[in-house]
Amino acid sequence: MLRALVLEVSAVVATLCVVGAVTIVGRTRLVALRTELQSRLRESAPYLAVLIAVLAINSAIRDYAQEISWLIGWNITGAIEAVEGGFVAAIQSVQTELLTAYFSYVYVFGYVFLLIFPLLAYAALDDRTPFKRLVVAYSFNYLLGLLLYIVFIAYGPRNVGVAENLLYITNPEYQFLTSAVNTNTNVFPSLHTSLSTTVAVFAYRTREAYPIWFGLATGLAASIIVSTMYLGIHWGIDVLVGLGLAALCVSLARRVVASELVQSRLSSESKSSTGITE
Amino acid sequence: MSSDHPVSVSRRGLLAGAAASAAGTAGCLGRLRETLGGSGTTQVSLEIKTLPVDSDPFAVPIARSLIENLNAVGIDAGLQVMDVSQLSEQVLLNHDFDIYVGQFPAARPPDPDALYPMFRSTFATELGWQNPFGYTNLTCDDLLDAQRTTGAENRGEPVTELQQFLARTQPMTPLVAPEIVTGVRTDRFTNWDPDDRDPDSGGPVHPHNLLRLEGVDGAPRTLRLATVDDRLSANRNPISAAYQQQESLLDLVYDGLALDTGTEYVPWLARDVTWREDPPTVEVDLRKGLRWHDGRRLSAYDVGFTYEFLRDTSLGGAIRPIPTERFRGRISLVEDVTVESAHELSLTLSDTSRAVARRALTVPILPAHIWRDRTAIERPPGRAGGTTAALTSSNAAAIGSGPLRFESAEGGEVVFSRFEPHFLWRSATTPTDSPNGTAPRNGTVPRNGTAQSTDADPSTGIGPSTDTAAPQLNDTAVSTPNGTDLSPGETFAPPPEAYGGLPAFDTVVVRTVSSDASAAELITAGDADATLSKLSQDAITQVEDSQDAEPVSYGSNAFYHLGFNTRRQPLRNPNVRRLIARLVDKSRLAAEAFGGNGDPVASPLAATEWLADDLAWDDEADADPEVPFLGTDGELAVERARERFRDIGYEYNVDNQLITDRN
Repeated sequence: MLRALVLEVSAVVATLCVVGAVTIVGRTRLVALRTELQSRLRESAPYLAVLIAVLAINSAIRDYAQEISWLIGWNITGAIEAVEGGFVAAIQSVQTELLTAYFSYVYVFGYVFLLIFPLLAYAALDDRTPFKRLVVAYSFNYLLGLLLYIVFIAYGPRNVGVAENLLYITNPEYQFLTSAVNTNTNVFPSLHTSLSTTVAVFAYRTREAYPIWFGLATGLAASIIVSTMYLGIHWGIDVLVGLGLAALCVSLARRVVASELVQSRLSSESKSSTGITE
Repeated sequence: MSSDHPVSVSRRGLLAGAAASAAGTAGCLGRLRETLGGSGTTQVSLEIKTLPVDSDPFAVPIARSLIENLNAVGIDAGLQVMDVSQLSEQVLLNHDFDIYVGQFPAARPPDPDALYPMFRSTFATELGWQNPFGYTNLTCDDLLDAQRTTGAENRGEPVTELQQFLARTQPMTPLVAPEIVTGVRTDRFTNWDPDDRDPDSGGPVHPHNLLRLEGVDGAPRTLRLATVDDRLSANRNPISAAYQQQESLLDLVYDGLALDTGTEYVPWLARDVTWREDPPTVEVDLRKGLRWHDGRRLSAYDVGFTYEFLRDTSLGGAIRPIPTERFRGRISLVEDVTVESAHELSLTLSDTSRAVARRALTVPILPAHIWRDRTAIERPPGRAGGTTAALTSSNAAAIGSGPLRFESAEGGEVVFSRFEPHFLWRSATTPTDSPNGTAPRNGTVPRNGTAQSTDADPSTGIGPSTDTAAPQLNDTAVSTPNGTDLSPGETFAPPPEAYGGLPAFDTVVVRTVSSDASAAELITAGDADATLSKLSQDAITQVEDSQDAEPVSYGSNAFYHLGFNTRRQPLRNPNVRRLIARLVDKSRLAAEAFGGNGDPVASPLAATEWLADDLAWDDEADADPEVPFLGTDGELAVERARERFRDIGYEYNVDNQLITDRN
C-alpha cells in the first residue's frame, strides 16, 4: 500500500514538475540546463551531499530519537494547549467537504511539489546561488527540526481531542505516508510550515527570474500552512515556531552560501547575478 | 512529578494556570498571590494521563469530560497524553500519576481472584499490574483473602462484599465496558465469529481463537494482522508490564501448563494434573517430547524454574524478592515447587479453593537456559523500586514453546511462523516421533486411577467440576481430532479438543500502523485479514463500506476506568475519590464517546456472573448505584458538586478555586 501511495505521489508531483518546467522555467533555460546539468550538479555536489546526509540521519535515527525524546524530552502538549486553547478548533469550525479535500491534497501533493520543484527551477538558473542556498536551507530545516523534536514532545490537537482528525478520516491512506516520514509526537515545530515558508521566501528573492512561481509558491505555502491546522495536525504555536525556524534557516543559508559567492566574486570579478534580488 | 508534595504547584500546574483562566475559573492575580506564598493555601491540582487518540479513540474523550467537570468544581486539572509504553511505565512502574484513564487488564470476564493483585495492600510496593493505585486497606485485604479460601458454595459472599467495599472506597472508578469492534476479511480466512463460541472465550482476535480460523481453499496461508500497538516490534518480554498487555500474540509464543479458554481450563503443556489435599498440592505430568523454539528440550526443570523465577527474578540475589510484573497474583498462589523427574513436578499451593488455585497453572513457562542469566539487579531512573535484567530485557529472540515461533521484527512488521514440533499438531505432522526414549505411557490408567482414588475430590481435572473438564483430561482418549487412531506406540496425549489439528495459517504477520483508521484502510485494501486494535466509529464505517470485509463486535471485559494514585493527596481521601467518580456521567459517556457501543459499569466484576446485585447498573434511574453522577443529562450541577466538596472539608477561595493547605 505504501508503495502504491509513493508511486501515486511521485507520478502527480512529476507531472506537476513537467508542467511547471514548461510554463515557469521556460524552454530557453531548459535547453541550457541540458548541456550544463552535469557541471552545475558537480558544483553543488557538496551541498547536496549534506542535504542527503541530513535526510539519511533523520530517517535512520528517527525511532531512536523518539526513545531519547521520551527520556529527556519535555512534553509540552499541555502547555501549548494552555496557551492557545481552541484556536485550531475555531479554524476547523468552517469546514466543508470541498475545503477538506483541497487542504488534504495540498498537504500531501502540494507540499512535495513545493519542495521539489524549486530545486529543478533553480538548477535551471545561470546563477548557482539560489540552488545552493535552498539546499542548505532545507538541510538546516531538517537538522534543527530533528533537534527540536528530540527536545520537545508534543502531540497535535487531533490527538488530544481538541480538534478532529480530518486528513485521516477523509483520506486514511495518507496516514501511511505521513507516518512513514514522521511520528505523531513530532508536531513542534511544524516542518510543513517552515519548509513551505522557506520556499516562499526563496520564491520572493527569485521573483524576477520566476515571477509566476513567486505567486504560486506563496499561495501554495499559505495553503499548506493553513492546512496543517485545518486538518488538526498542528497547533497554531507549531506554525508560529515553524515560521521562525524558516526565517532562521533562510538567514543561515544566506550566511553559509553568501560568503562563498563573495569569494568567487573576489576571485573572478566577472559573474553577474541574474537570479537574485538582494 | 509532585509525589513528595502532592499539592504543591508543579511546573505543569503553573503552565496550566493559563488554561484555567481560559476556562474562566481562575483569576490571574489570585493565582499569582497564592503562588508567591501569600496565603499558605494552593489550588487542588490533578493531572490526567492517558493514551493519544491515535492509540485509543475512547480514552481522550473520557479524560476530557472528566477534566471539564474537575475544572468546573475549581480543581486545576490538565491532560497529558503519551504513547502506550510510556503510559504503562509512568503508571505501573514509576507510580508517577494522579489519575489515569485506562482499560482493565482482563479482556475476558475474569475470576474474582483477578482483583487480588490489583487491590491487596501487600502489592502496593510492587511494580506492574500490582495495585498501581497504592491502595492499602486491611478490610479489603481480608475480603480478598476470604474469596481465595472460601469454598465454591460460599465464595459469592466475600466476592459480593469485596465489590461493595471497592465501590464504596473507589480506588478505581469503573466507567464503561466497551463493545469492541474489529475489522476482518473473509477472502482468506473464515470462522472469525462462529455462532457457537461462548462470549466468555473472547473475540475473533483473541490469540488462541486465531488457531480455530478456517482457511479458504487456495488462498495464501499467511495471516495478516494490523495493530496500532507497536510494542511487540520493540519488546517481546512476556513478564514486562510496560510492554505486554492482554491478548498479545506472545500468548501464542509462550505456553502455560494449562489454558484458560474462558469457559474451562484445559491441560496444555501438562498432559495431566492431579490435585491433592493437605497440603494443597497439584501434581503435573508434562506432555512428552516438548521442545523450545530453539530446539532444546522443555522439561519439568524449566517449569520449576519458571515458578521460582517469577516469584523472585533475582533468584535470591536481592535483599527483597523482585517478582514478575505480570501474573503476580497467580504466582502468589504457589508456595513451593518440587521437580520429580524430567516430566513430573508438583506445586504446593497456599490455602485456596481449587477454583482459584488452578489459575496458577496458566502463567507462561519460560526456558531456564535463557532466563537464568537475567537475574542481574538494575535500578533504572524513576523506577519505584529495584528491578532485574529479566524485567528490563526486551527478550528480542522470544524463545518460547508455543504454537507460534517468533521470526523477525523489522520495519513495523513482526513475523511469526507456525512451530512445527508443537504438540497441538505433531500427531498430524510427525506421528512416529518417539521422544525421551521412555516407555509408552498410553493408557497408563493405574497411575491416574490411584490418584483419583486417593484424592478427596474425585476429579482429576483442573476444573472444579468433573463433567465439564473430563473429556480433555484423560490419557485414555486415543484419537486425534481428525479421527485418526493413534498407533499403539503413540506416547502423546491428544491435544485439547478444538485446538488440535493444523491451523489455517503457516505464517502470521503483524503490521503496526499509526491509527485505527489506517488499520481499517489495510483491511479494506485487502492488505490485512484482521485488526488487532479496536476501531472507532469512523473506521467501522470504512470497513462496512468495503467488500469482503466486515466489522465484528464483541463485548470486552477490559472496561475503561479511572485509576487513582491513592499515595497522593488529595486522592488518599476516599471521599475525594468518590466525589471525582461522581463527576463522570458514565451512561452519557457510553452513549456519546462510545457511540452506544458500551455499557456503563459500577463494579470491576460487572461482566461476570459474580456481579453484586446492588452494583448492577440502575437502568431505571440510568445511574451508578453507588456513585451517581452529580447532575443530569451530562450537565454537572456545579453548585451542588461544590457543596459536596465543602461537606467533606474542602474550601473555596474568592476565585472559586478548590483550595488545600500547602504542605
